[in-house]
Amino acid sequence: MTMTKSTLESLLKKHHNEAYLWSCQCCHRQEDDAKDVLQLVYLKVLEGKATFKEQSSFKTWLFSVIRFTAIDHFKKQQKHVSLDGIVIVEETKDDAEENNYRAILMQLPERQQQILTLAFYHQMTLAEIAEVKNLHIGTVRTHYERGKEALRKRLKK
Amino acid sequence: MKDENNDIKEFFENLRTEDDRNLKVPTFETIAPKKSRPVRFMAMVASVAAVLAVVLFLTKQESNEKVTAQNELVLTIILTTEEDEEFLLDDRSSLSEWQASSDILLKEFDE
Repeated sequence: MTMTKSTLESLLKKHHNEAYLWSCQCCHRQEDDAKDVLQLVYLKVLEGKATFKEQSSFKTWLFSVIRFTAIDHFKKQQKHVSLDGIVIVEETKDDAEENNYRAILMQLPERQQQILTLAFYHQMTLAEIAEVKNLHIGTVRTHYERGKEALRKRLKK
Repeated sequence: MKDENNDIKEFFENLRTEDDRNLKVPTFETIAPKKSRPVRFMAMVASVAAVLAVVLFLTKQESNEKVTAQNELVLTIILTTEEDEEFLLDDRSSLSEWQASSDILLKEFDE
C-alpha cells in the first residue's frame, strides 16, 4: 500500500533534523550541497520517484535515499570522491582546533566514519546501517569494530 | 554493568553538541519543494486555455471580416451617389458628326 502525500510529508518533517545532519555528513559538511541533496530527496519522495515500501523503518529508508542522492549529486558535479574511500580534507589550524571532534573523526576511513556516525550519532542498529550502506551485516560489523578501535587510538593520543 | 562503548558514546555526544552549536538546520519548509498542482489539473487548465485561444482567434477573424464588408459597402455607396460628376467623354457626340478645329483651313474661300 502506498502512503499518501500528506503522510509522507509529516514523516519527512518528523525526521527533518536528522536527515539534514546525515545529508551534511554525506556531503563532507558542505552545507549548500547538503541542502541541495535534501531538496532532491524530498522531491523524489513526494513525487513518488522513491517509494517507501515499508520493508524497514522510514528513517533507515530515508537515510539510504539521502546517501544515494549525495553520491549522484557529487558524480554530477564531478567533484566526487568515493564516499567509501579515504577523504582528504584540508583544514586550517583554526578549523581543526574549533572542530576538534570532527577533525578526529575525519582521520578515520570514510566507511568507518559513516558506520560509527550512523551507530552512535543517529542511534541505528547494525542491521539498519547495513541497509543504509547497502552492505552485508558482517561487513558492517567488521568496519564497526575496526572503526571503534581506530577512534580509541586517536582519542588516547 | 559498565558499557564498553562509553568512551565512543561520549565522543559522539560531544560531536553532536558541537554540531548543534555550529550547524544551523534550515526549516523543513525552506527545503521541501513548493506544492505543485496535480498534472490532471494542469492539463485541464492548458486545454481550457487552448480552447479560449481558438475562440478568441475565430472571433477576431470574424470581426475583421465584418470591417472589410463595411468598407466594401462604403465603396459602393460612393460609387452610386456621385451622379453629378462630369464625364470627359460625351457619348452624345458621334464620330461622323465630329469636326476637327483645323477643318476650317481646308475650306476654300470661294465656297
